[in-house]
Amino acid sequence: MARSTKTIPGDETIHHISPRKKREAPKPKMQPPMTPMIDVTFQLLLFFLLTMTFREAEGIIPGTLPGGPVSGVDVVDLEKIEISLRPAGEGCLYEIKGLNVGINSPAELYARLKARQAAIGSAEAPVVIKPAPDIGWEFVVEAFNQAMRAEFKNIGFATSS
Amino acid sequence: MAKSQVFKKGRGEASFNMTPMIDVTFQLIIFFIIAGQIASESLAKLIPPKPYESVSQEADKQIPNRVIVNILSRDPDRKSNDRGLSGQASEYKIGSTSFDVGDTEELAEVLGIRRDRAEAAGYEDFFVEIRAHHTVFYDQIEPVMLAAAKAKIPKMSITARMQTFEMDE
Repeated sequence: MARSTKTIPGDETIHHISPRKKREAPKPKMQPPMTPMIDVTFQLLLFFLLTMTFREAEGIIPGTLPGGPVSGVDVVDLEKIEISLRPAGEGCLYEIKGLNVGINSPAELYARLKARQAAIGSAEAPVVIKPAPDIGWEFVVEAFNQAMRAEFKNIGFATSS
Repeated sequence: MAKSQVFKKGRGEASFNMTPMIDVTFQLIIFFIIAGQIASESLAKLIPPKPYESVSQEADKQIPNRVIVNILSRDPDRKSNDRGLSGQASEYKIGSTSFDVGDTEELAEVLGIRRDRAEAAGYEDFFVEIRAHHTVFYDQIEPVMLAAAKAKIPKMSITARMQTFEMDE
């Protein structure tokens, strides 16, 4: 026989449970269908992970164009620093006009440029980068970068012709 | 005992309709993919040089005051193991427009139009940004510089990878 009373620990009162209450259906659980959403989300996640490529941070180095004067300053009064670039195997050989020393590392080029700047006593001296036609762009940018790093104000490019 | 006629269906189940949400998600994904392509159109897929102790700085986000000329290599990955081929430029690109290598005339014309447009919009310091693949030879890039000089654009900037915290040796 079904019990029609309910006892609560610590409570002596007899609680009656009505038959209707006993028949009451259990409350339905709220369960949204998550499977399709998760499926789609994983598909997208996988797609983006497989197709994604990281791009390295890029920046710009400001310069002047060849053809005209290197800068607006009076270039006659200042000694021009000419950096020649020519290929050496897979690398590059830098030469500063007047030094007659082959430079093959960017760090050394920087040091030489700094020394020349100190000798001239001005950062306004025009620096002209003169690459050989078949020199890789990475080496041209390297020379330009080192001149900028040495804080020269007027850096330009010579035409190869 | 017979079931009540009033409560025979029981309580209604609460469920979310996921279809519109997935629809909207797809719409957003398509939008971002297309918008991403438009945004990266000015930057062609290439590897710019990474100089030692790079002094390159982040460029202004404003595009109207500059024109980016991309110079792509014929063999960017050096698959042919031919230094000469990877040194040859395959094309110049401004946005989605391609130019033949060495076509200084057409390039100068387009650069001039861009400069005029920028000046009309009130941008004074207009410059050309040369974004070349690191293996391309200087003689392939020089026509771009000459075209910019011809279009009376005195300023130029070079794209290089920025200095990071890793060792660049």
